[in-house]
Amino acid sequence: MSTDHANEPRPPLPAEHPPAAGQLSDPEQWVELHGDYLFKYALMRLRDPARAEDAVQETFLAALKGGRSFAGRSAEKSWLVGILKNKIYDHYRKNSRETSFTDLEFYADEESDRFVPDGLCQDGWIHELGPLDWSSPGASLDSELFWQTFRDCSSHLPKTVAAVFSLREVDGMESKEICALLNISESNLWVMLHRARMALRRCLETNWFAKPGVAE
Amino acid sequence: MKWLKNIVTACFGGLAGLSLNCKAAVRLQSEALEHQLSFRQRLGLRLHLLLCVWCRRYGKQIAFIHHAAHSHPDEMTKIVPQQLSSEARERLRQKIRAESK
Repeated sequence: MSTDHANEPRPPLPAEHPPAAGQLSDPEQWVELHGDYLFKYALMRLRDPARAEDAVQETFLAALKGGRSFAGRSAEKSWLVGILKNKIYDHYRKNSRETSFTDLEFYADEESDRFVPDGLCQDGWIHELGPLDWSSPGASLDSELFWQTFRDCSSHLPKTVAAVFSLREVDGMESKEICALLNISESNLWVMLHRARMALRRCLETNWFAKPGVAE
Repeated sequence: MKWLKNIVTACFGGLAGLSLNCKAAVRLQSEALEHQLSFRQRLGLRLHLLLCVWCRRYGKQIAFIHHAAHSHPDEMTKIVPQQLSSEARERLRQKIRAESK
């Protein structure tokens, strides 16, 4: 079976009950069978090993309560992933209520060092620091190193912003859904996405497109 | 030279009323990926982009990031292979055992 669930069409909140009758594997085996996969899945999205482990544990416990009938191992896995997704959303929700100090710094900055601070051209790009010309960026999409850079860059975003970016840009969730999920306003979401894009653009430019000998 | 500055400011003032500064233009270009901008916003943005090569580049680049991430979810979510530590495994096993009794 495919090891990737990021492509699955996404219902707002997947059902937490087993989909079909059959044999569920012994819960004692779950850690061996699915532990690593679920952990990776959670870690990727929560970026904190302790929280990821919590989410996996919550998933197993919810699954224990959830039912004991099943079709087969692959169905078991996607069922567990469905539960895990909800647990991850819970963590996002909790997280979006606690804005950390680094988040505040991130919001205050707004690339102010790249804009003219005052005068007639206030808030225009400082010309030498404005966006560079990225020649044929599409060619980078095939480069493993480019994606490594992309992931490194997004790992520097504050957690809430990274969560929003990943829900919107990677999972392709609609703005309204994300707002409902995280209980934030749309304008709040737009600001977060704007800041995420701004930071990513800058990071990619510095570490990829403007790096000598890399993006050719 | 003050009179010159006044004239320049007056000439461009009218345009500036509708046009945007770069900070606003980059914000609106990101918002345009989320929802339909108002007529006034679109007009202001168009006007600004006509004149500003940096904001044109910016807009293209965030659109590139938007589409790149969206069309390559696998690449975006790949992480260095990471496994549960043996302690974590044990903790999970014990929890499951305790709960399934």
